[in-house]
Amino acid sequence: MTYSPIPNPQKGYLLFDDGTKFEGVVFSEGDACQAEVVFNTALLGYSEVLTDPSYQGQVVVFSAPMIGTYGWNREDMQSPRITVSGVIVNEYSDAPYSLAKVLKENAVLGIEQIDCRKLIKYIRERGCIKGIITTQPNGVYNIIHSTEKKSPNTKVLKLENDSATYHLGVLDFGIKSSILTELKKRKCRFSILPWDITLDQLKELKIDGIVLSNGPDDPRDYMDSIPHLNTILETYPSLGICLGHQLIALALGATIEKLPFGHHGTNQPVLDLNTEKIIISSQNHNYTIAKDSIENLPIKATHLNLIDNSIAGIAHHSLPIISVQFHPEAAPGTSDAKEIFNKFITLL
Amino acid sequence: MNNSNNKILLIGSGPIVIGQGCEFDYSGTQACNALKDEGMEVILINSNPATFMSTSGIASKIYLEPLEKNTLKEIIKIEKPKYILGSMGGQTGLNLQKKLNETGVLDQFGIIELGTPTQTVNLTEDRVAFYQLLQKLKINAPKSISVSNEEELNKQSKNIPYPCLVRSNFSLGGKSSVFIQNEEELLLKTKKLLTTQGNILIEESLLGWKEIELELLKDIDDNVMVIAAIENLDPVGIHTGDSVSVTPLMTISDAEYQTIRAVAKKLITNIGLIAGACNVQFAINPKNGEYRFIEVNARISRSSTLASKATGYPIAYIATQLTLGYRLWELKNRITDVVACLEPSIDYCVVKMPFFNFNKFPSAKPFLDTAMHSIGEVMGIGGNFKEAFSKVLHSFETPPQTPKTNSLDLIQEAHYNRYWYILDMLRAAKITIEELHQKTNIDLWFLDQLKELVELEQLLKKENIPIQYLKRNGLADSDLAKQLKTTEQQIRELRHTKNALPAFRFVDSCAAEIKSSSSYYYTTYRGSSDSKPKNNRKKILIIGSGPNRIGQGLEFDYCCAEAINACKVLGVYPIMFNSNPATISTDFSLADRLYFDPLDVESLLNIYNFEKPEGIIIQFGGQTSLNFAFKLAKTGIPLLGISIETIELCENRLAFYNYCKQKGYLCPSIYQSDENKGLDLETINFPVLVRPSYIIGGEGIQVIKNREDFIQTHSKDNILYCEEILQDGIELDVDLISNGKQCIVIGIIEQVESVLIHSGDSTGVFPPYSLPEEIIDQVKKQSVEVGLNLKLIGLFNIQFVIQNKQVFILEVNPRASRTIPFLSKATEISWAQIALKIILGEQINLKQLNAIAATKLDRFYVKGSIFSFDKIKGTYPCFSQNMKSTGESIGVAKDLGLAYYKAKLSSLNTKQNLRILWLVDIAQYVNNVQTLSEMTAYSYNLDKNGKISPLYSEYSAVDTNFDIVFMPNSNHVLDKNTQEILTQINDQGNTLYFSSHRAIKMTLKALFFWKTKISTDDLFSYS
Repeated sequence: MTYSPIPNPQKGYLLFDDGTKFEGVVFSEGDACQAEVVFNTALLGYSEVLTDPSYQGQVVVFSAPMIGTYGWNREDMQSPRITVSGVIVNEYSDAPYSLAKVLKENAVLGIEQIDCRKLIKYIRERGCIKGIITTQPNGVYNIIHSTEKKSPNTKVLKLENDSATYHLGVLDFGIKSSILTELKKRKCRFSILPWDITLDQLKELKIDGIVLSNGPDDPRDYMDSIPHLNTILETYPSLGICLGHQLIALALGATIEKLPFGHHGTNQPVLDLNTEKIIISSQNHNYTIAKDSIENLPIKATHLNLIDNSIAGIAHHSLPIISVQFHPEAAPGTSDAKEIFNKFITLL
Repeated sequence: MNNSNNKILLIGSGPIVIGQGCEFDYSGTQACNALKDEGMEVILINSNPATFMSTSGIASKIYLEPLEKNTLKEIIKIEKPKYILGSMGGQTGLNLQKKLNETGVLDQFGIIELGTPTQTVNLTEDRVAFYQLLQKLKINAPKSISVSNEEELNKQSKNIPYPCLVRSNFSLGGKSSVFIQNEEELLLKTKKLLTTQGNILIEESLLGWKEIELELLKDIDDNVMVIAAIENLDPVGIHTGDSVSVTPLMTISDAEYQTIRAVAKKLITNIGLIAGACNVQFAINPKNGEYRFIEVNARISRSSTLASKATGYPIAYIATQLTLGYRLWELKNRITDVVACLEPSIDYCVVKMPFFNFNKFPSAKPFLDTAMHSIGEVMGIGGNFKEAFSKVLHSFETPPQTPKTNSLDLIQEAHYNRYWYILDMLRAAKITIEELHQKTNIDLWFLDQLKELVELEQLLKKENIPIQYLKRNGLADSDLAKQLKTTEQQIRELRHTKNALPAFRFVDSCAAEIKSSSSYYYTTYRGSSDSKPKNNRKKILIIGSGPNRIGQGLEFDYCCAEAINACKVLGVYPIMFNSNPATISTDFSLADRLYFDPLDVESLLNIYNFEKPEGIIIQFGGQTSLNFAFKLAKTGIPLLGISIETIELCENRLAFYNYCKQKGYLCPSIYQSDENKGLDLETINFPVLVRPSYIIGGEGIQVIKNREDFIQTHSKDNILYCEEILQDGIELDVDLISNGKQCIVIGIIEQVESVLIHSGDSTGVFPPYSLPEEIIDQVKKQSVEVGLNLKLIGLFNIQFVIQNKQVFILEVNPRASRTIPFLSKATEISWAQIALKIILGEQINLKQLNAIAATKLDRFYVKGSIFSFDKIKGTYPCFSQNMKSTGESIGVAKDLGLAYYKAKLSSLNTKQNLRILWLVDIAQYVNNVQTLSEMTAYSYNLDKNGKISPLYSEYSAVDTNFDIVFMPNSNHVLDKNTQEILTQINDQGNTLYFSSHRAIKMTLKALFFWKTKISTDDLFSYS
């Protein structure tokens, strides 16, 4: 193990536009960047979080007291690469198959010894917020209010499965591998698609259903590119997860609003309104469906987040469309919500 | 049944024994609160008078009666409750509920079992049926074979994977499970078990696997959530109660954790558990991540209390609400105001370390195994693992010395002090962590953390490391002072100049994700404080008693909790400071603010300087809190209600002796050593007592019988003084309360046992039963005089010995004593509350209270000491000035014999016949032998009499199954043969031991009540 009892002299900083500065020390050298700063309260599962495409380009703050303690597990990765652009922890602890090594190889800046509790309270109050992660104490905050235009994948990727019964089209906003793993277990094969694919192109593929994947950022940023989404939803049984869920809601006419405090952990209680059972779910989002906006739509809420009673899942009154704000595939998180995948299969 | 009947019978867990401690007082109190908040009428039964749950007002009605089925049946007949809840009272509570169910009394009265029904108890205890269920659910359990006779054993012994584990179908605190290395050992050891247990289980050994515990809640809809996952540093093979453990999980990945979480959920929704808390234990193979299910406890457990304190989630309170039919999503965590079904997330590390009293049992092997040995525990909350671990180390008042023998062997054999030895070896650079891992199977990550802790200690002498960094990594001021060869005071000053000050953070159950509030705080040298202290009310800081141990148990937590309650009445803001996770005093719904930190000077000063209370209260947390008077002597921190001079006078034997002489009180002679010559042995009238001052539970006290022994065991030069023993005297324990002007006797307890036996091990009778009134009057007069003269304020305790009608004063304890809860229950007055009010200057007419207390004296209240000898295998029961009992029980009746029977003998109630072993000198009991022969009418078998002296000559050593052993004068050194036989008897368990002549006489008298039905007039209850 590479621990040195002498404190690392290399300082690292997280800077915000209001002059707030958090200071720590570097545990993984990497590129400085300006990015959205989000936090996660999961106690385990850092390998999954750091490879989750939903965190693409973001700086992730972990509330857990120590990160790195059980090393890096390749099999836990949710995509083939580190997706985050910065990592902030209370304390980094090295182990064989070092997390710091993996981060460094990917030039992802990692800072430890930061007061993450204070930082999380700060992020909690300010909501979606950008910051600069850097080794320069006087980095200049370059305020960017508008989001850069999102661009979809251009290739179609086929994922075969010998025992498959169903063929799913995946609108890929940054899908986690464990979503595919769960569906694969349920006899599905996949075409991973650019998310601006047209209905005609879909028809050629002869798919049985659509999955709108998770992904980063504000769902409203994507809508210009998929004005035809509602026609796709009318045609195919559909499952939306997290960002996909919000996009379905938007396409069906609902409004999306920012939560006062987002949901960022693997401990989020959700009530299934149909069974009246709790799901301890994995969540990572700052946006939600405005409750009153679905009142006159053919949509019903199927799940509620019990922390703030926000909508955590919806279903269409007549069409085979379900979507959830949480991550039924978990990773990290509990297996409580796996039933969602079974439900979707029955709709195919 | 009438619908308006909302009466519920709640079963407590009884006296503290190893494996079942004060955690059930905490959870039971929470249960009472939850039930009462729902408007239920709570009928509580507990035999333990020291508990807080049995305090007037906690339940609707409290029966201080033996926890055995016949008594409970009587109570059920009177109360006719609609519900019964056994799952809050540990294994005792559940077993009792099961026994009642079996007698049909629950059916007869239509009583509904809440929480954990008998069906679940039966299923989880019947390992064979349970194993089948696991197979059905496809849950991986250790491979196992059930064997019920020798023939089967011989047949199967070849097919077993060694090493293996042998256990009986029922266990409390892991009792009766044995590790077996090979076939030979299996055949040897299991034959004996087969004869006593009938049916045993041989299991695949998981030696070296990681051990993980999950604390879960389940509601009536099968909603399940995990409150905490706890990882043991010690791998499988050491009982989880004896393991050092940590949360959150450190060396387990999310995938591994989610597998066992899902299994736990599947399991607890398939065992018939209606609703409530549940504990599930797993092993994980460090090589490949495979899991095995180990054990499920479908009830509130020791670990659920730990999980509550680790996360700020009130498990017992919510579990009780769930048993009433609430769903998880309908409830709130009232402490943090967060929805109850949010699984707690924490942003700090928590380490728990058990406390052992092996020092009290020198004949026992001090090594840990699958049976539980610890008697208490401490918990440390820190910013990282090292800080939490270090806090735990600093929660022990006297850290163990490094052994002279090879400590690596001790570490490998799992010596109870092994973590200190590991640190010492790492300090001396005598070993690598890889070697330690090989010997202990402790994960390398943990060993590396310990190494880091030690490396920092050593580097700080050479390198210029910022003090903030050292503090954040767990080095206490005392460590720094030691390494830098300076004083703690100087380190404190350095910290202040360098601004290395602690943060005060609260435990919010959600890692700051949600805005919440809490009264539950800890200090850490990482990061910033959560809030400023409140300043609007008068504040006081109450110091607790630390880990429960022999000699200092939950009676002091009771006193602290009552002090907190008194503050609330007065509108004063109480701040509680303690390090024991199991106890009621660290219930974060109790005090206005709780600081969970080691009871050391550094933590106390940090808290004091942050909160700036008016003063600190040290009289309620036993000797541990009282000792703070000396530790704080030069800090200028005001002690409330007591001065260091008074403590000094009471606790310094010589000063006290001189005081008595001056006042003309009789007291035992003291032989002082002369400055030049040491002690003059010629002048000493043996036997004598050698004792240090400021002690807990008689630790270090020795009786020396004669001059030869003295020379052998002590150098006459290094002993300051020794004390005359008033042989054949009768000891009295007197508790008093004073406001400086009025001083009254709360109660006088007459000890049944001899003066040679520690008063905490003796059976106490209130009021005194054998002494003439004029003696009692003299004791009263003298104790009141002493109280007023020493200007004691609040509670204090004086011990007297009556010898030849003369009153000798032994000692004054200027603090709440062990017997305060007992006397509070007997007199139905909360003396601890009154004492706190007096300390804070309230005017209280004590004479009036005295009159009220006097009206309760129409009955006898017997305080019986309860021992855990049988939990410490390989030891034999013996009684001395060194306290051994772990708990106490109360018996109340108009007839002294019946009261004594209830307190000491009620466990015999269900026996068909009694087997009594009597060691020597039966001649002293001639009158009582007649009594015994009368008792044969109750199928009373007596393996009698003088024939077995010299011991066991005609007596088969194989037959060691006794209910009662009379061992007069056992304080005398027992010969080897006797020790061996007693050890064998003790290993069988469930035997009662009586040692002094007075106790044996009393026991014989009380045995008249064996099998007599206790009349309802003799049930002791209050509300």
